Amino acid sequence: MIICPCKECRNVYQQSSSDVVVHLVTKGMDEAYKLQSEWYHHGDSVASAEGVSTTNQRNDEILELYKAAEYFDEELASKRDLVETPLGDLAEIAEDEDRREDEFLAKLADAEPPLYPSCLNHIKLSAIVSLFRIKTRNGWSDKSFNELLETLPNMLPKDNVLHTSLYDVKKFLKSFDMGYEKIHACVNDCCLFRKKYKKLDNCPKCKASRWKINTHSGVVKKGVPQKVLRYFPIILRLKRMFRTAEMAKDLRWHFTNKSSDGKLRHPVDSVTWDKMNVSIQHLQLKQGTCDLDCLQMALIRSI
Amino acid sequence: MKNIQYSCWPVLLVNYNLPPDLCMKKENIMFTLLIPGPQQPGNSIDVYLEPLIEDLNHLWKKGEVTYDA
Repeated sequence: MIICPCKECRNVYQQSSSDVVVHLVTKGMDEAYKLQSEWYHHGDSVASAEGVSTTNQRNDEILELYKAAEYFDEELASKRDLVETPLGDLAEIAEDEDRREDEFLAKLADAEPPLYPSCLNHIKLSAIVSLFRIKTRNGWSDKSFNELLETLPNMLPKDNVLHTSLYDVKKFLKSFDMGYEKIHACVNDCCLFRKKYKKLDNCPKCKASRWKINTHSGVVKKGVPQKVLRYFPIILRLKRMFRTAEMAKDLRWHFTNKSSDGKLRHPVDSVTWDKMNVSIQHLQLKQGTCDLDCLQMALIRSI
Repeated sequence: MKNIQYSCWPVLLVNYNLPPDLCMKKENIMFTLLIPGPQQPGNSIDVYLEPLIEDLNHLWKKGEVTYDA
């Protein structure tokens, strides 16, 4: 008989080991206990056997994120192989992903080697990310970081894979699609130079120049924009959030955390919440599409 | 902070799908737009919000296929 760490027994009741296995599989483990670095009810051997180590957790997390991104592609690719004629949308995406798969595999191979052959704590990716974290957190200048990168590889053992310049590091990190878009804007806030205005040199409304003008000579410096808007695309980021198991669970929290016993604990259990869901579906069915304005109207009505 | 010469406007996005105790955490607030100065955009903020609204509308109307881990 051992103490059962499942959600219902919560380390209070004792069960036979086979029952514990059944409990853990069907009910899951007690969340609070799961997060403990040492499972004190079950001795150290259990903890080490289950592979709970906090020291390498951050590194694992980084690799996990990256792997999740990579497996996503593999999954889609294999789906494509299994189903000969997948439905339109998925086929298109799978094809697109398939094209990118080779790139991803190359990137993964590039990111996974240890920092130097006998290094246990860091792989290339985690080393670069943690260095970059320190840079941003302390506001190091690009120059100082560049100089650090020039010196560091000399201090490390031979055959290390650390980049030697900031440019290389940035290029490496960019392959994660975590960058931002630069969109040129009119100085007088008339428009953004994107889509149909992409190639214009002057604002279509106020005729102001898109490029910087030298105040003394009046020469237009083509290629140097006056105003730049920075946009961090959200779709890719949301997609990536769904790729980590924990985040995906949190993202569906309102849907999965409805109470089943008919008692109210959160607005999600209320009648209004259900009504809202139904009315939004109605709107979408009726019009095919639904504007944010419609949603607002529906919200106001329900209140 | 007097005589500020330059002001820059960040646009933050909060994901209310996350559990209430997480959605306002620093790491879950998404930084989406950086509107350049030197003055505040005022009413013309709409111009700058365009790319963000476009993406949000796309997510609302069509949605995106994603792998649910």
